[in-house]
Amino acid sequence: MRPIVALPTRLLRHALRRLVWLVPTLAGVSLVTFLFLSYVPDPTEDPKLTAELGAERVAELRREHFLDLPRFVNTAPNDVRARAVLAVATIAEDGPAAEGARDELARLGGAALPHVIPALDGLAPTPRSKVALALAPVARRMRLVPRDETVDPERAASFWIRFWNDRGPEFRGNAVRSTVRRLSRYGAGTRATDLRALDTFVIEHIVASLEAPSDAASLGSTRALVDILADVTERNDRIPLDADLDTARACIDRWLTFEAIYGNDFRTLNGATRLTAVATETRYGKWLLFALSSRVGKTAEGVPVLTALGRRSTVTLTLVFGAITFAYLLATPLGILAAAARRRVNDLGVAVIVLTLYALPTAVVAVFVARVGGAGSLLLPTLLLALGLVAAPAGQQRAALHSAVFSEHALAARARGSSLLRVVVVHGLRHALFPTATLTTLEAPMALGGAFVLERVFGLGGLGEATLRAVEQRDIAWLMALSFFAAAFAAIGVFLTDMVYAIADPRVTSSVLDGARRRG
Amino acid sequence: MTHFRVLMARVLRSRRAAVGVAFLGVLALLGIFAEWIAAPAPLIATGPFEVLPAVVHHDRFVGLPESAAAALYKDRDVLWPLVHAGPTTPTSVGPHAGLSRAHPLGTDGLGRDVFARLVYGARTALGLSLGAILLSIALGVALGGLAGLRGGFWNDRLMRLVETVDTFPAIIVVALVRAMEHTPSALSLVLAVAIVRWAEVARLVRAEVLRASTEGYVLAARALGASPIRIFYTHILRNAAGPILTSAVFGVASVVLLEAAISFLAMGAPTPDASWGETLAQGASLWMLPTGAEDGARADAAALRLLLAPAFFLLITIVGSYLVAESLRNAMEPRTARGTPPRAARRDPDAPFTLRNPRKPRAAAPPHP
Repeated sequence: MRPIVALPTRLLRHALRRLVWLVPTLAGVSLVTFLFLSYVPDPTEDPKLTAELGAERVAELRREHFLDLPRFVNTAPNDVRARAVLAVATIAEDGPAAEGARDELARLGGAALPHVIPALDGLAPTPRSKVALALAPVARRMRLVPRDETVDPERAASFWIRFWNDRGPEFRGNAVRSTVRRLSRYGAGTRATDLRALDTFVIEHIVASLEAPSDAASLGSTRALVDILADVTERNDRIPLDADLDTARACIDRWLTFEAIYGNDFRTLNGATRLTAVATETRYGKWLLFALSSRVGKTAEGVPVLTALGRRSTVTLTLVFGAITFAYLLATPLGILAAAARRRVNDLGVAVIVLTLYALPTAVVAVFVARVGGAGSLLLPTLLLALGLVAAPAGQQRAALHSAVFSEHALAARARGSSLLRVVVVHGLRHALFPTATLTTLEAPMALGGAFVLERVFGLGGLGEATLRAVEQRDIAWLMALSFFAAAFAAIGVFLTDMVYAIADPRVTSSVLDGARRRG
Repeated sequence: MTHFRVLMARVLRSRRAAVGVAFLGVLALLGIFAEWIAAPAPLIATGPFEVLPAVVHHDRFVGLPESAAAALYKDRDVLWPLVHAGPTTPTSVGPHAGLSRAHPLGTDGLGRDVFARLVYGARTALGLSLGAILLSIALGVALGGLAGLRGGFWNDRLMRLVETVDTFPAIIVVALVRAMEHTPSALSLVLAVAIVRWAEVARLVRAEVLRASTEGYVLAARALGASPIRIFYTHILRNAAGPILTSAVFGVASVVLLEAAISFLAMGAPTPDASWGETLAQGASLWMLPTGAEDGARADAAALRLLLAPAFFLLITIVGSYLVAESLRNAMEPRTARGTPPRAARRDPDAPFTLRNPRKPRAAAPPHP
């Protein structure tokens, strides 16, 4: 026995189920598109660039594009521990790579100390002093005294071990976090000095508490935090004293990007964080991070993708949906005329009109019209785009009306003396209007190609222009966002169509609901 | 007589279909025999004897100027094609030359023969759409059949996929593919179009599978022990051939238009391949160019040539495929079949409505150009 549930509730349940299925669909689309786009050759793959900038700079650029990460799953996420252990081993070996490893250890800085100093005990005396000496730049940054001990091969190792016995407990996340919080809330020079003394260990905690400043007071505390970041990373990107809020926000944006790229160089992954890093330390994870946190990343011109997408899509969507509306306004009377045509001449006439509109190459007509005038306005391109779209709805209206007018209930109405016009309007149109919903979702993606051409001819700054540029410059952020929004648009269009059917047509309602019941 | 043959008989009787087939046929012949119509080398040359050197030694003539090609065959008995230039041959008359006997449609901005480019453009356009459509039919039949035969969960998921893919703009897929490749190739375009178009075929096939699975002949075949694959292939697929063919013929027009749009927009790296859209783009930029009065008239004439000639070819393609597809669709709907009116109507063409006609029309398939 079926439980008796009110129809609106069942419809709502059906709608919700469909909406929930949108999420995996869109996630799947983004995964597939990302997989596709990950094979787009990156500009850094150009051998000319390597010759120009040097291999080191190119490696850095590739890192900034996340090309060093795997696509979807990172089975061995790299953190400060792994990097420090590798650097220590390389320095101890004293091979040709030792020089680079010393730089690396200096860069890793304070965050590496919890892994480096305990490891010193396990090394033979010579490598131990080499590693300890490599830490000298870190000591300088941390302003440790006495300075000469850190550069003395005899005493450096014992200095660091003593240092760790003394100050090791300060290298704890909780303590640092509360210091950072107090600094950003109340300010004070001593707290800043304390944080500087922990070097890169503080980066993750400071970045986590960075907030876009909203007034002069928060600007001051943010400046203090950014100053510490700039000191410990030796990356001179600070908020100037006379900076306004926008400059400060841009600076914070840059630091957040820095964290997204290099953050894991200064963070120790344990348990849960290591598990999440399997998914987040991937190219897809980074894209998702940027998509969610900073308006879907930046286009090649440096504008946030979402801003550009919003501005440009208004033009293109107006063009597409305006054209579809016009096409229907034109197609419905043509369809009625053709269906009601008692004589074949009329039918043929309509067919010829429809075919001519359909076959005229939009680009050529647009080029001729554009020279006459009408630049800048959206009306003319919309109308031109509409011309090519008339054929499908007109044919569909004709067929639907034809079958509706010949249906038995229509014949019965005719027999009772209602006029042909009444039959067409009352009995025919209702049937004929249903499929238009489906047709609209199918026509919009086809009209997009035409819309791109018209944008080009009329010089409208729409999605087409940006997409062409993105293809040329291999701008993944834009292409990814564009295809994701196209898919979202398509999926929502299909969903709405289905719901319109389910609500308006009782036959569909019952079949949809029964189908849903059968499936579970 | 099978259903399909009845269909074909109806189509063959239609005059519109004949016009459409003629249009498409002429274009197809142009594309297939392009080297016989326009080539930098003769069809036949003697001493040493050569047949169609433009095909046999294709590499030799790529980008070879017209005069150099002519010099190769000086003092030999040769039979030239209609136009002495291939699609990439720089001619000796220079860019934007007017109509002449040697170059019936003049030359484009790079001094290449426009007629030759249009003829080879037919090969590009039709070859591309044929490849894309065949691939999408193969994919669509396989997946649509699978969805219809398996039913249940996978059927459901596949239909969601089909809906999403069907409403995904083809031009964006092409943009993604174009961004991926270093040198644009026709193959990638075929793949890109097939990625989008298979969904429509899958929808048609699945609908036919679902409709036919309850029919007596399918039940009979199953009772006789035929495997699902066999039933699908011998009993169901043939009935789906009509709708698939219709959508394929409509598809030709839309793929040709898409290809023209892509080359018009110059998406991706430029290629030397002939394409109607590329010629159109040249004409468009020349037409929009603000020029001086005296030079303007000449530039306008050249622009008009570059615009109208490919537009005519596009028009022919689209009209041709529309007419063929229309008559196919009409043939599938007994009510509107123009070739064979229903018997009652044949007796009295003016009798508008009869209650006794027992046939109910099937729901009209949404037209999909």
